[in-house]
Amino acid sequence: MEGETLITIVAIFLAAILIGIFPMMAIAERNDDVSELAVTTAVSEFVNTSRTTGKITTQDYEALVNTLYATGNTYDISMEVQVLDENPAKKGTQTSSTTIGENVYYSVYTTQIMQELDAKDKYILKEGDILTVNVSNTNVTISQMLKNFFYSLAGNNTYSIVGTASGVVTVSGS
Amino acid sequence: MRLQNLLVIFVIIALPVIIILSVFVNYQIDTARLKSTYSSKLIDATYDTVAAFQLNINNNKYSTVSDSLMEDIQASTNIFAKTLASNLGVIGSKQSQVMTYIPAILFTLYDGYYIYTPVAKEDQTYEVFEHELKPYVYYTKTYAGGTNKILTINYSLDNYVAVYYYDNGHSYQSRAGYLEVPSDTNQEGTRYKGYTIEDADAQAYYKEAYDFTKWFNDIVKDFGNSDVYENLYIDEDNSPLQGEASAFNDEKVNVIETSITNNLMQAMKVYGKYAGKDFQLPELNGEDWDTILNNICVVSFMQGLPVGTTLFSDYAIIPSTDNSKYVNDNTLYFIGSNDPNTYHRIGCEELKGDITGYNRADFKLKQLEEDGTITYTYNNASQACYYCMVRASEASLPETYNNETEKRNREKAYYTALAREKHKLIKISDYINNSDKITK
Repeated sequence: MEGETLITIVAIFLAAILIGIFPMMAIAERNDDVSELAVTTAVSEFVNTSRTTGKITTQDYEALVNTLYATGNTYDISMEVQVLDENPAKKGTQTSSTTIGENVYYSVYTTQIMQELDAKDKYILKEGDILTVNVSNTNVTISQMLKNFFYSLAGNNTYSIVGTASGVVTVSGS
Repeated sequence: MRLQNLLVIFVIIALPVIIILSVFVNYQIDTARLKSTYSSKLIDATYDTVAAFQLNINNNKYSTVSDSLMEDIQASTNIFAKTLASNLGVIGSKQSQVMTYIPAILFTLYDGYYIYTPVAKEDQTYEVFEHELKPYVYYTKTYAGGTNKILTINYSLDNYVAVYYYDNGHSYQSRAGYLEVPSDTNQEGTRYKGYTIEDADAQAYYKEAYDFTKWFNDIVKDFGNSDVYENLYIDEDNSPLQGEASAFNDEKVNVIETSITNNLMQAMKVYGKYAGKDFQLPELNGEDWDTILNNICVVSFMQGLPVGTTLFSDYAIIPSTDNSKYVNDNTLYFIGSNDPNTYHRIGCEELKGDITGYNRADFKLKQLEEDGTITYTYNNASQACYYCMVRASEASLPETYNNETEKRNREKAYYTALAREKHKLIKISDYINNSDKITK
């Protein structure tokens, strides 16, 4: 009798996991996958548009942000422009001028790019620069929450939705 | 029914659904990633094509000759095929298969365009399609006017036009030149928009443009078609200059867009019918057309490549900014008397003193061949300004001139350089100005 009760309790527990939590986790994970699909496409389009027009514009950036937030998550967008430093004989921006030379790049990051966008509505790129954009979610998605709860594998700082794209700028903007 | 049985039934039903859904979504994500990769590879291949095109024409002194230019472009298309196949990881004899997904490559030039597209060729037993450069198409439109009057205008990316006028069987006139608003300059070409023009080439440009525009306006007036008169008569309210909002530019843009669109659609339709695929011209947005209408460009289309459960279709537009075929705002660099060894963009804060403008091509390394010996040289060995060239985004915009004198200095230098460089360009249509049949 006691054995049967124990089996029933285990069965109920299993049922709860199988009927409720397992599908919920699966659906939550698929939801993140679908979000990642949208993020991947949006980031790729943004990078390709910027590198073929030679400029990052506020309009394009806002379109990217709108597409990302339409997925229902919050994101950290990090941009990096590796500027081709092709004029070593001229003034250098780094402490050691010997580190600047032909085909050497120096990097400009999100904050500096955003300052330019705020001031001029565009950040001008030149042919040969390299643009890289990384997007990752900053909120904890339901999928992450469930994983944290059950597996205790993922910390709160990890992300599950990520999109990245990069490419060489093909034309100098104006 | 016991709970355990219910669980088993649930697992049998739900688990496959979840697994299939998971696999499907992951498959879709992989497809999206692959599409993104293909888009980048298409852009890279097109960029290489532009680089090859520039290299070819800049080192070919006969590139203004139509046949020679075709050879240069043909060579560039080979680069496209090789680069795209290599980027996609296709090697050896299968490389040609990649090109079956390329229904067209468009080369827009200064006054017309080439389309590189598969055309039917009769083999011994069956019809085969091979990519070929189709004949050059001018940006042209023929207008019908009064009794038996026919006016054909070949437009260009800027304010240069070639005009062929047939008047009622009595006379035939043809002439090519630049259009400028007559009141902006004078008969001697020594003045432009209130600035005194001192450079001899620039003066010649404005003088010829003044003369040509007067002739052009007379033709348009005499033509007897009110629409043509409204759209093409050049005056203060209808500027022919590139980028200005005017009826002339609207008409020109309309002619160019219509011509390119119709010919591309036709090329894709013919090839699609043969290949059994539904090739369609994608709708180019305003920014795409803006790039095409203001630059010599290569536009490549890729369609029908299987990606996951779908087909990949995309296009890439890459402008050429380093060629000797065309001059615009972006191809002019300026040197100030304060630092003759450095060239700048027009808006750079470092640009001071007396300013002179040059064509960008003058600062590029050139290959010269004499008696079989090849040497490399610069027309102008100045270096690029660090602030406005290397750190392009930090250069001041033209509207941030510090004062009126600085603004006027730069505008004068700009108008002079633009006119001089335009005057120096060799145009294919110029031959009609020297033809026997011309009536000036």
